[in-house]
Amino acid sequence: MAGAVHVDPANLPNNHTNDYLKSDSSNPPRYPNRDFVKASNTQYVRVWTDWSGMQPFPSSSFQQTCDWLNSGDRATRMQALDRQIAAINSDRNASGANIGAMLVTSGFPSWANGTRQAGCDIINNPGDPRCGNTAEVPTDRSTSGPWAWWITYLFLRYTGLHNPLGPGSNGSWQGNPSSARIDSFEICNEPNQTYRFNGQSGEGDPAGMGCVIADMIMTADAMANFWKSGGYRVPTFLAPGTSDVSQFRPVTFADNVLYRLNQSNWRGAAPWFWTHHNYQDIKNGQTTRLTDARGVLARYPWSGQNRVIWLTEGGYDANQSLPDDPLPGQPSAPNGEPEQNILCLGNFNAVRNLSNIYMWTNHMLNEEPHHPFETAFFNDWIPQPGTKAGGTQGSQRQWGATWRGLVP
Amino acid sequence: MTTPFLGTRTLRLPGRAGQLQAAGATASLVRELGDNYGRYHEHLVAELARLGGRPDPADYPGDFEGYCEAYSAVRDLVLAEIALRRARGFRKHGRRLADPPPPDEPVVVDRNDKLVSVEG
Repeated sequence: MAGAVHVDPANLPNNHTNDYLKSDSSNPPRYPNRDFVKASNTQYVRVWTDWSGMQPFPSSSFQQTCDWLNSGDRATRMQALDRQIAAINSDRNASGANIGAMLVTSGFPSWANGTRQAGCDIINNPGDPRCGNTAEVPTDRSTSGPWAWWITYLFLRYTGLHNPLGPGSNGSWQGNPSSARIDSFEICNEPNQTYRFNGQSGEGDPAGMGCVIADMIMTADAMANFWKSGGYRVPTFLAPGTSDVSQFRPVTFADNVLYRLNQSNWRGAAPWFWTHHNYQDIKNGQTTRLTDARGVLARYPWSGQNRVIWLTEGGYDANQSLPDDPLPGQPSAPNGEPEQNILCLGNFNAVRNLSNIYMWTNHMLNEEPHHPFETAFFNDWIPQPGTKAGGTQGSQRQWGATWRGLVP
Repeated sequence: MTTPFLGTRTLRLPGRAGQLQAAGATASLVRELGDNYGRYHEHLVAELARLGGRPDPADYPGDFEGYCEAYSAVRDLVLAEIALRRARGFRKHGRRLADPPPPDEPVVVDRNDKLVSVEG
């Protein structure tokens, strides 16, 4: 089983706490991210990009999408992402193994999902509520629409070839200035929890959202099929990243995704694997919800592939001072980093003994500044009132030390 | 136009359903489709046969946009068949449009890329 970590670099300033390339000269030294990964047996790093942040204005063709993303401040942001992925490509872990790079995209521009209202000025006032809801899925999920072009742009950018600007420039449809390469590409993130469809949450309408995500999977695969047939390298594709928190009905949602794919006689042209997030299982000291997900996959063929699951997010919130979806009738969870260490290690070892689980991922290396959800290996780098996680700011938690010693 | 109930991008239905679609009269459209499933299903089958099923990238060398448009046209027909079935379930069996289909419902597209009738 591969151990993986999730970082959050896109759209963030260089040397942000979750910049993979972060270096630190504090005394005593706090762990730089890249060095931590290399000193551990981590086998994969998952990096994030957000469409709503990268493309605030619409495009009307694939070429125009490429031109937009290859120029101006978008190019600067894409190149920052390139450098982090290229660094992952060049790194080896403590066992000398290559480290895989996974890209995940989420967040939908309000122009693409119809939630922007008149008068919105997203550049000068991004917090303006008239600027829409980036959780609403795009209205056009077809192969001839902007979401498909965004997905295609990303996987063509990260084929590992060199291109001074990016896809759609210099007579080439692929590459980036750093020759960065992704090994896998997750096209959505927790739709059963965080996405909305016609204003209805994935939680409230798991059947409707299941159909939407199946549609997006088929569109992404059709894009991959075209370029793969032309001899281009395509990554392993991943979806949907179900949240296992109970009220988001992950089994109902997953059942509907797979049912729709099966009804459409869909067979993926690209390699596809199912992804799942196991926060609640970790908190409960169980693997029940993962077992449920395995049960759904056993009922339906998934793209004609095997039934291997990648756990692309998980972890335990060491700051339990805030409400965190406790189960009805369950006692409140314990606080602090010792519990994080015990529960995460226990789940890691339990999952390791299950068949068909390829990956276990810890959400974040470092905490996001001022963010209450504290699942990382290190305490906050910036003081945060009210945290119960304890420890010195920026210090390694017990779970970080344990992770560093794990042999997956 | 795109009717949210259908979710298709460019598909225009024939006959009265097409008129209702153009008028954005969703409730009437659902009734028309649900009461005349067989007629509209046959139209979709014929359209998919005319397109030749899902496009093969090998038929579109260097023509990404052409391939995408061809795929979108097929996707629209599949989405229309799904909407047609939902309308039929609503009119004949009283199921809500948002309900998932019954588990014993036949596949929408068979292994030969042909639309399958829910009426057998």
